[in-house]
Amino acid sequence: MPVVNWRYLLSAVFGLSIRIASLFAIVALLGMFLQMLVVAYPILAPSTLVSSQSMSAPRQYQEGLNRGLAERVERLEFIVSENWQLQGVKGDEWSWVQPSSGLRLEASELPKDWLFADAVGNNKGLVIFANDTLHHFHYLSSDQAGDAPRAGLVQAHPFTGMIRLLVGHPRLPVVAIAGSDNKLQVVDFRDSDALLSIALEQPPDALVWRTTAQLDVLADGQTSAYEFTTTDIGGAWSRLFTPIQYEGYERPSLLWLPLPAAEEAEPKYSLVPLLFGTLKAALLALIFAIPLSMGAAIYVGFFMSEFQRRRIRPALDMLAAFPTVVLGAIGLFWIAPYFEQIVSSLIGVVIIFPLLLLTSVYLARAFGLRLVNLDALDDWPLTLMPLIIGILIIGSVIGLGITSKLPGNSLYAYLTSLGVSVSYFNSLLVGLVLGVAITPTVFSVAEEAIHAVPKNLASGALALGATPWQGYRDIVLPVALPGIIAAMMIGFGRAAGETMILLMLSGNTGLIDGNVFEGLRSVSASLALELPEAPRDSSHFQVLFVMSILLFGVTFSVNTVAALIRNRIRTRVRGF
Amino acid sequence: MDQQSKNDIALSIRDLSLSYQGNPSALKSISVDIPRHSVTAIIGASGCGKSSLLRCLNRMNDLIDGVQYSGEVLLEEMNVLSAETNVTALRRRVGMVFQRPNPFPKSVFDNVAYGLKLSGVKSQRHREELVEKALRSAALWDEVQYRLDESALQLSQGQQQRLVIARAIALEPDILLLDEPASSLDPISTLRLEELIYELKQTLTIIIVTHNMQQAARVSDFTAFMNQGHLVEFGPTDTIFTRPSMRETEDYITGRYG
Amino acid sequence: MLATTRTAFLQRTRWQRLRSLTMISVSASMVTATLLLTLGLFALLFISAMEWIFWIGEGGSADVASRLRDIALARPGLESSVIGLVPAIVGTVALVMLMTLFVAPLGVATALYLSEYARDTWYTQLIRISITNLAGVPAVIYGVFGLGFFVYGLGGQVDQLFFSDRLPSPTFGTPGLLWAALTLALVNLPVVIVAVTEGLDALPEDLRQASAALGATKNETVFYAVLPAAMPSVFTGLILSTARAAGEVAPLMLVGAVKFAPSLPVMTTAPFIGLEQKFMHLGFQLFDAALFSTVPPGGIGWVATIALTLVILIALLNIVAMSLRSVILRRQAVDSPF
Repeated sequence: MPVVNWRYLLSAVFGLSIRIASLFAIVALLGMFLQMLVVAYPILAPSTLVSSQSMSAPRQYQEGLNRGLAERVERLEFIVSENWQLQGVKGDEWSWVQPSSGLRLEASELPKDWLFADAVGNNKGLVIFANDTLHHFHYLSSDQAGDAPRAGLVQAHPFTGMIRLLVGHPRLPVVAIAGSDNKLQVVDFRDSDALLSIALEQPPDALVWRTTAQLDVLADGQTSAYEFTTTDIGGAWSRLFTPIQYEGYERPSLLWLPLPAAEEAEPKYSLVPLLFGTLKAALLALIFAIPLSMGAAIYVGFFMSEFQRRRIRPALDMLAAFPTVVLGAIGLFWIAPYFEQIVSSLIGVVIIFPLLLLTSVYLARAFGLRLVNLDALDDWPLTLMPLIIGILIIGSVIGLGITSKLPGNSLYAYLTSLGVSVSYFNSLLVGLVLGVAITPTVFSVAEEAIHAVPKNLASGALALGATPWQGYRDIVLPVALPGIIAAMMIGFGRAAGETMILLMLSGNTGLIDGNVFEGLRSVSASLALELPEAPRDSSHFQVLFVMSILLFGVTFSVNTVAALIRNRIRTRVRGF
Repeated sequence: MDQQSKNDIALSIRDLSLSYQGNPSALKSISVDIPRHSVTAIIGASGCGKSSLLRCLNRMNDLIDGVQYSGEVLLEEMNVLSAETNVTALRRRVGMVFQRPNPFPKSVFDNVAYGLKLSGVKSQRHREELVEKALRSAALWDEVQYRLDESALQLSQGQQQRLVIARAIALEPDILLLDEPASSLDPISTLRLEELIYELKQTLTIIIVTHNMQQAARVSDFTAFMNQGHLVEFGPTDTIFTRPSMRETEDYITGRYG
Repeated sequence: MLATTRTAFLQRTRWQRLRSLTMISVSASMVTATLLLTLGLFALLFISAMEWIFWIGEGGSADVASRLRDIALARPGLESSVIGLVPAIVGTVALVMLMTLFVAPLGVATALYLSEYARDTWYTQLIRISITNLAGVPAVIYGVFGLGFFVYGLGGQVDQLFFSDRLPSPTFGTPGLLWAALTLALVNLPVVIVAVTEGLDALPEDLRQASAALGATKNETVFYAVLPAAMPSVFTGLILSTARAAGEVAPLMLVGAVKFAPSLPVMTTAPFIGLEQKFMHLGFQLFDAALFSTVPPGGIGWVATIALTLVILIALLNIVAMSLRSVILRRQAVDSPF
């Protein structure tokens, strides 16, 4: 009887379970992206129109018959606002009418030779069929109160064929059209290339949108229902990125308004303001983080001795122990209320810092103080501590002094007088706090890159009479540069995905505005704010998934490029 | 010491002691005069302080934390070790070559031109002349004259080491310090390096630290033997290797310890 | 030729040295500034918290003991938005431990597979690089995935299979402890895999060869030689990931943390842990207190107290991980040929 080798058996089981577990982990991690695509995909699905027997129920449509059979109607009235109506007479002009005063003004911007017209999109828009073209108009409020409204053309869409009936969708810029050839068509102005049509058995007497998703066709006293399925972007994914002329807006705009105030208004899903906000916050964060982290990385990675470096790195890494939610709270309570003063002080420090540092160093040497041994400067940061605290204080005082001398006696008053709007939660504040959050990451990666450059290269330069700075700049920096760039990219990725700080400090206003004193809204904050509220499988939910896929893709590819750069430098350095 | 003999001294070391953290007496009151236009070899067992001594002469020891000197090293009346010394300028007069070739990750030309650039040689033509001259002096010109734009890391180890020497002598230093320059080279490259050292001593003073006693005997005019931070004996190479006056030296040379 | 310009050259070096010293001073002062910043932020939280805790009298508390009791256990009330920290700490610890339960076996197994078993082909390279880069993907994305997949996908399935009697009100098909722990496990899986892989790569190849030379199979080598040697790096990776998990709030907002949970997710009777329950979390509590707290005096002090608790918790975990790492480095330094 063979002896069972338990040791062997145990390890074999172990090996097998390793394979299974790692397969599971890899599938989970890589499948994540796939799963998100699956959830988000329906947003890109085109609209459909299908006959739906189950929905058909006999019902009387008195007003529908009257309105739907527009062919027989010579005169139409639409309520535009509280005071104004739009009236059209077939073959004649359109006019704005104020019923209270009886005032009547010509609406010359609307086509005269119209055949059909109907309201669309919650009475904010108007579809007019004239000259073989479907015109989609929307109403714009007048510049001055009391003036007549205006109508602006959103889109014109050529349409050939005879029309029997034309009915506008109650929520979206969509019209249902019954042609003389017994064809039922749904024209979607959001994606006018997509034509949905279904052949009818007999010429319809009326078309009625019973709900936003159901179209009833009345023919011969019979009602048949058709189901119109669409997403909020109507299958036109370009609406996520390009300026859209929404009803009621002066010009095509990029807007993120997934939950518009007016019920049944069209939600607006432009991702551009959010991407812009993310980019703006990340770049500002880099501006604040780079001087701090790069300066520290150069010093610790190049000028410091190995012994001292091992002691100071953990101290610097302690900044990473502040989770971003803590930094956000600090920003909220200790930075935002004093932000004007902080910015003023920072301006002063930036102006005064190089000046004071240079003079003090120069003075020290001019008076023959043998302050330092030029090549080994291990205690320099500690030696400099009083000087730096002094410079910070003097710089702040000077900065505050300068800004109080500005017209208006304060920085914000001055900026406002220049026409720069300033909000309490602004991008600069976000950038500052976000900069602190990414500093440990950028420092750590950059420092490793600089430290990886062999020391003997630098000593070669020093032996030729290069100063330590020249040795760094001419010899070490070119080798470490890819790693430093990678560090910035990784920092950018971190900043772009950071959520809590943006949620707490950015004001979450979806503006596209280069002004750093205005707020912003980022992709990550939108995800955290809106996803818990968005109904599952709604267009809003799916658009949020599209957004997270974008953020995933951007951060993942930025990190991949950074990793490739770092791998290359690693092999290059090994070549020495 | 009369005027004539004083002119023959390139570097005079007086009572030099060195300490740093971890080794409070790396060098113990060393005094020696290094003759001009000659090759001086420093030999001794590992850790005897020969590299530390060499690195004092152009203050490369400053890179070590907590280093302290006493005594003086005189280079034409200038005390190398004084706090007021312009270390940067000093290092341009006293060049140094390390154990492992360390060419910069730049082209061959830029490697040699780097020191010139630092010294303020602005005109490109002038630089080209000086680079060519340095490469010729380092016996490298024939091998690299058509490869000046290639990366220096493409050269062989021996070529790299000679390139590093060319880089140092392009600055026309008074003294060249070689810290075990052949330790990572193959025998043929070592031979070429030794020939080069012989050529260079016509214009330079060379101090070489070496492990290899045959090498010291082959290339040097004078030899200093060090043991545990002390300078045991200094004299013409022939004398040291054939009739050492100290027992320690004899033991080391005949291989009885070390 | 150079000798003729030596005086000009000395002048030149003086400027170069001054510039060098200035640049070094600038970079050194950035080190100082970073240290000052860290210290300053900590001092800010510490002073504000202490001032609030020991502030007795008008607008403050009756006495320090009752203030401390409030900080620990207060239930939400109208007059104060102080909600005791103990449930939040329990919630955080339960979450982190549950997460470690998932992430430890998966992370270690994947790292072992990738560096010991998998052949070095282009697709294993691709998987390695992808996993490294997943560590840089923002945590909120994992939260989005967790909501879509765990909560709505898996949770919905579980409800239909096992809790159909309670439908339509969801049991597992809603954010809760289990899904939060799984989501955080995914967030930290790449971190742990990378840390353990680095530890495995640092092990000397002799170890494996010696084991193989004794006749051990591949599995035996990995199980009895490689894994024990890599244990320190496993622990470092796990501790760092728990530190990260304790501070990560964004994904939890999507998958289960709440401002106030009436009961703890941990019980003294079976099944001891409420996997489907919503739970309180220090980081989320801080977020909530910072944005919505309306305590008139001492609102800042309360926020500072939560923040300080969180920072100290994370700093302690970091310090443990760092000292562990330095012990490993020292041990490896002995083995290394240098």
